[in-house]
Amino acid sequence: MKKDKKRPLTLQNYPGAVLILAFMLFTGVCLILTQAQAASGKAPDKIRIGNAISLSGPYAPGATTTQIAPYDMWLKEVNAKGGIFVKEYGKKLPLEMIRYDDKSDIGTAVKLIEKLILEDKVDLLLPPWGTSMNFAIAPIVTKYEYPVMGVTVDSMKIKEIAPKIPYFFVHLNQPPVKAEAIIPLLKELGVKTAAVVHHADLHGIEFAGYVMPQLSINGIDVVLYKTYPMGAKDLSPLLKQVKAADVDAFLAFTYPPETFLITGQAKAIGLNPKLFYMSIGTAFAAYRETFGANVVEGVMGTGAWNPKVPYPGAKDFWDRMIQAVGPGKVDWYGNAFCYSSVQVLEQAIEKAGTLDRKKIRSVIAGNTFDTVIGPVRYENQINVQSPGEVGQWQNGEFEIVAAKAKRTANPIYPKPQWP
Amino acid sequence: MLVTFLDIAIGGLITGGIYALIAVGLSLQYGVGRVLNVSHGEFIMVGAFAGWSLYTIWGISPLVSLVICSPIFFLIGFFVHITLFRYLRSRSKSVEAFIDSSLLVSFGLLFIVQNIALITWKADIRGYSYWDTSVTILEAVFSLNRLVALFFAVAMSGAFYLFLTHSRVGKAIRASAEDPVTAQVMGVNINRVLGICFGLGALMAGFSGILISMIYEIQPNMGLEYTLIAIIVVALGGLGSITGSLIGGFILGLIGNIVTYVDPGLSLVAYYMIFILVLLVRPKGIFGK
Repeated sequence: MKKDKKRPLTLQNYPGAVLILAFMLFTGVCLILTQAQAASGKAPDKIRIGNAISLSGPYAPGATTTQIAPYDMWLKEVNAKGGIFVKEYGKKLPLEMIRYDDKSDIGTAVKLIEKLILEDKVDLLLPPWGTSMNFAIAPIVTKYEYPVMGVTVDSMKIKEIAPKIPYFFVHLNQPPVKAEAIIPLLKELGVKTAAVVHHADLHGIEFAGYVMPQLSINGIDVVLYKTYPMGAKDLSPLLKQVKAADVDAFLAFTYPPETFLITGQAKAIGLNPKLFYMSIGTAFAAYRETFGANVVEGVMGTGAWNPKVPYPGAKDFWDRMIQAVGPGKVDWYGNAFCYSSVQVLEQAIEKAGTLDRKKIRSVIAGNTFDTVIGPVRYENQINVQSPGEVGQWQNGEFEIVAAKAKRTANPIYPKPQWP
Repeated sequence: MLVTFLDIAIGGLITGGIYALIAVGLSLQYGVGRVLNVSHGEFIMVGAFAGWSLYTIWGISPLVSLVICSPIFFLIGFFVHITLFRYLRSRSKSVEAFIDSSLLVSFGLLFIVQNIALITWKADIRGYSYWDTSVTILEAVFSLNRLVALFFAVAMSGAFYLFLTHSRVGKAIRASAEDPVTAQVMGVNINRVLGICFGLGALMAGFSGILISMIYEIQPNMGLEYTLIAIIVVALGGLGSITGSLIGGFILGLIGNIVTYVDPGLSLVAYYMIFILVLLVRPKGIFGK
């Protein structure tokens, strides 16, 4: 009888068992590691927000005044109260801003947006400044499914392409809304003749293209209609022609540099029609500061908001805004829109209870949000709430004078003489 | 008819006066010093912000600022030249090599100055109202600040012309513009003259910047458009011809205003048309030799 030789219990004698044991150990460790990783991924310690915007170049003045200031104020305020409550993680998450300078260059902006999404892996994005910039990034944020609320985007074209860019929301009221309100105001005030001038950029062309036919349909005679190039240094020859035309209303669809130039030159040559309207830049506090409240008295501008609007938190927001940047650096129109866009974002995150961008997008698209510009609601990604369409400087305040139902003051007509 | 004529003529001279000053500054730096200073406009921007700051913070009239700031700008320009461009010039193998490398250096200067301005003053639009009442000349109406700007632009140009033609340094500058090597042989301290030229160029830029701040709104990125205008005027007047730049500035201002009167949409087109025409028909410029 053969006696079994007892094998000593060493690693060499049981290679199979050792291998199985090692494999079990390895998978166990991996499992723990991935679980730990998943857990840390599930509960982030902050919400990272990316923002590529113009800190230098020609877009920087607008970007700083209109967007950056209210974004930064919002960020500070949210963090002061501990962050935004995200139900999925059962806690408040503070915000962290990652901001890059797109140097007012569209190509750079596009690259930076992709960097924010792919490399920095931010949770959410804020928009750049300017119509063309927003147009450029809209397809990218849609591709990566980042909901973005464009604030400084002002074009009728956006409505046509909206179905192709479902992640891009347009928060600002668009030219038709603002242009539409001019006509009833002119009719109410009894304007018979008008002169229309505008710069040869998309904003001016679209605005004029909308207003011009409306004027003639409504029996207002357009005596003079001219365009000028952006960057014009002397518009007095043009303004003298307007003066010679002796019209009731002067409508200029302008960007900030020309808004300032036209005001100074109109005052100098004594062009003082009964109604004096310019579009962008009129609502800037810097405009009032440059010329003085008594000079800008009675000047009208596009898009109006002021702290007298009947929406919750409006006055309080304005006080904080002025405290944050100073009374001379606010934008009487854009700041409220910009702030309300991040109010929407904040409420949408809370309502969605997650940082899942698809869910946040559908919350934004399908709900109404209480903000400083009133109850915001999007139809085909375009905000339909408008606090005011035409403003007028009265005693240093930019009062809403149209549409009629939204007035915070009655329009001054005719405009007083330049001092 | 007379009113229209005056409107266009005086309006054109006002814009032209500032263009002339800016161009004379660049002409000194490029025509004599061979530095194609693309940061010229940044000195204009700094001048404009200096005028704005002094007026809004301390209530100092921009006309006083002209007197206070001009010597400072001269010293800054002089310092930039002796630290950067003199060194560059001494190391360059040929004039062409120096022109190339100085162009790159001045590009660097442009970004440095612009970014410092962005940090200091932020990117907001600024402006102030100074003497913006209207003045009537034979029924043609102008704002007082523009006429004042015209006066100072003409006075500065006139004074500078006299300086060039009558002073020793002025003669040395003209000699160096004509032929730097011979000038040096004749005992002109070329490095000093070039430093002075660059300093005077910066002075002109700062001076016109302050005048511009009286009339237009200002922002830290405003410089480049003025640099472009200066380059057009220098090409129009003739490279190295300071008189040419002076007259070229006024011509460009006048043409701009005439075209704006006919159709404002064409004014910028007119500037570049002139630029292209000059390059095609008379590449040396109207007064170029």
